[in-house]
Amino acid sequence: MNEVRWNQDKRSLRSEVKYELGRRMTTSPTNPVSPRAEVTPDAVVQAKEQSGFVVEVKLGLPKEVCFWDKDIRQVQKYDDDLEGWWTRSEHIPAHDILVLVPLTRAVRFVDRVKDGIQERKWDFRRSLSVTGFIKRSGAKDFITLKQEWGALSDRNLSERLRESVSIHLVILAATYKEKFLDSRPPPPYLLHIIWDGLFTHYAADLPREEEGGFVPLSVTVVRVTKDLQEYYGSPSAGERSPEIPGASLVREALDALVEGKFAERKRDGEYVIRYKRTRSDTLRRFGRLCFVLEQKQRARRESATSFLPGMEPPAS
Amino acid sequence: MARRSMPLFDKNSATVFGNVRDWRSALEDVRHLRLERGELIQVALVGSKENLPDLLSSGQVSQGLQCLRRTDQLALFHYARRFGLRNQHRAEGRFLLAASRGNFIYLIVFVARPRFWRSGITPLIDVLYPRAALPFLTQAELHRVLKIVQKAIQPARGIRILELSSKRRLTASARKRFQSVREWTDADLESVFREAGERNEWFKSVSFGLVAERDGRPASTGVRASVSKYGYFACNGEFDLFERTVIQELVAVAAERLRFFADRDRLRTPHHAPRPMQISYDSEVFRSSGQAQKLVDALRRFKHGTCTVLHANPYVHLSIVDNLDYSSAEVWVVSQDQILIVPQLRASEAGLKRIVNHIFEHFREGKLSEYQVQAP
Repeated sequence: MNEVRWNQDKRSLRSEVKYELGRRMTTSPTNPVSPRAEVTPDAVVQAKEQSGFVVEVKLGLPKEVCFWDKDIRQVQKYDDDLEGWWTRSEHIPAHDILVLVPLTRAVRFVDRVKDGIQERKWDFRRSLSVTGFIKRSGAKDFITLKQEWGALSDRNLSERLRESVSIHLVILAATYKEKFLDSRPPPPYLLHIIWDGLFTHYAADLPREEEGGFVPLSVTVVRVTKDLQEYYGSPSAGERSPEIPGASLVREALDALVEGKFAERKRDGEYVIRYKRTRSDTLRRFGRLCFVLEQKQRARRESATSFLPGMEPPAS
Repeated sequence: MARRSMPLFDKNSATVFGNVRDWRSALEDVRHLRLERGELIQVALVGSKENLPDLLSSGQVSQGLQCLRRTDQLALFHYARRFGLRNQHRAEGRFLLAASRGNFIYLIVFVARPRFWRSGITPLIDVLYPRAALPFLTQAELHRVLKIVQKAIQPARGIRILELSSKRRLTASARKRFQSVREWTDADLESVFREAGERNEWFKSVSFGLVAERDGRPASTGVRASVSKYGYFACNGEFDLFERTVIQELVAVAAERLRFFADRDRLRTPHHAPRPMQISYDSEVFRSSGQAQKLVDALRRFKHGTCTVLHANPYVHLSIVDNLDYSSAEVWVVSQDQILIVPQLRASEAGLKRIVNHIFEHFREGKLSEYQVQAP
């Protein structure tokens, strides 16, 4: 997205490019895979009024090629007159499909797509680009994108990707406030952002209790979710727009704080946090907490199923 | 131009500043000052966006503070503090608080033995954090301050460096990273700073004397002063000279630094977008992963703070929180010659200053500047 937004002449990011992670699109009745269904591509980009592209990212692909068919079929869903673009009719005349895969798998992925086309397993009427990505470390750290097969309608972009484009990680770190994508974040990471990012903001101007030095923070799932979306994710901008992160994840995080004795649950959705800063690395701290909670949950599950069918579980 | 009257030396540490109305009259008072043995004229710069005279007069800061006199520009305070295991020690004195010409920079001026600075004023400033904080100077800025003094008194006089308090980086095999050094010397300004650069050493404070040439050799004039990288200055005479050279330059540096760190908290930026800054180095200091680990280790020792390591090798991504005022910033190393600092939701000038100064002192000093957007 950064590459699409970058204006080389003005050396700035174009603000008119519309994009969203996890946007809810709707397939047409003639979709060969999922007709009249809601699909959520990893990213949807509308660079111009009447054109755009849908992006699907595969951070990892298993070694066995046979498992890749499911992913290719998922991409095939996007080869459709999708509804949900930023136009009055929510349709645009044409869009491309861009699949991002690890560079080390890109050639074989392309081979599988081509084989599937020959075998008539799938076909793509819209422009499809398979682009590999890899992180390079050296004098600077980059993400490099290299188009392995296909082309995009934007000839300029397509040619740049064909030759390979390297995006300096510093641009991503310095420009984007988002800490969350539309996939589930690791729980310790979410807790770290809440504890070090959001609760510092809540607690900064409040007095500390004399005993224990805690700052009692009254929070709700609604408020924490709204603030996380505004400052670290993205609030929903409409019916098709996802909320990142969602309230259910936030509730799980706050419940984990209760389990870890960092908070008390007052009522449904309301908590009082016993907020105290320490020197501990918060990712490690909450990593340990989440590990312990996961172990407890596993033990509870195993205990619930460790009896013969037909028998009642023992009273706890 | 009216001739200035001869100094009467009828003021002492207890009576100086007693009737001053403005900065000019304060300077005039100092001209008539007679210092007792061990006493120095001392100035500390403090940056604050609050009305510091109001804050100190409010009773919120310390019970030992008493406002003796106040005008539009100045406030005179008496301060007494007990400390020690059984509160057996006492620090007491008076200080003048003056707004400087630099935005949000105040001057704390007092005439006392250095003990009042160490045991009285310094703890008072610590208590004020983050509402007020000492600035910091880079090695290059400290050098520039001294060069300004030298230029102002040439050719009739010069300065000789007499005492240095410094930190020197130890070799990789040493268990400690830095060696604290206190040196007594008699050297010229340029060679002292040149040698410090060669030894990878930086100065916490520099003491110097004014000298005049006699019989082809530098002879002391008896005037001695010291400047610290934290905006503290002391002298035993010629305050006029040092006010228009050292103090004014310190104010300019401190004001610019405060302006640089201001308004970076994401709460207030448009769309809560980051407003990052960078520390650049002349060489590829992060060529080896060992250097990245040194930065991580240095930030783990950030006093009164939390360092969370999100990624350490090959690139570095840390989250730093100042536990005193809850400012936070992310620290990234994704280039071999640069550190990127991305202030987060809450990021006060004092908090950011503390993080950057910690990197300078415990890792390596570099060039601090706005982050520049680069082409992909």
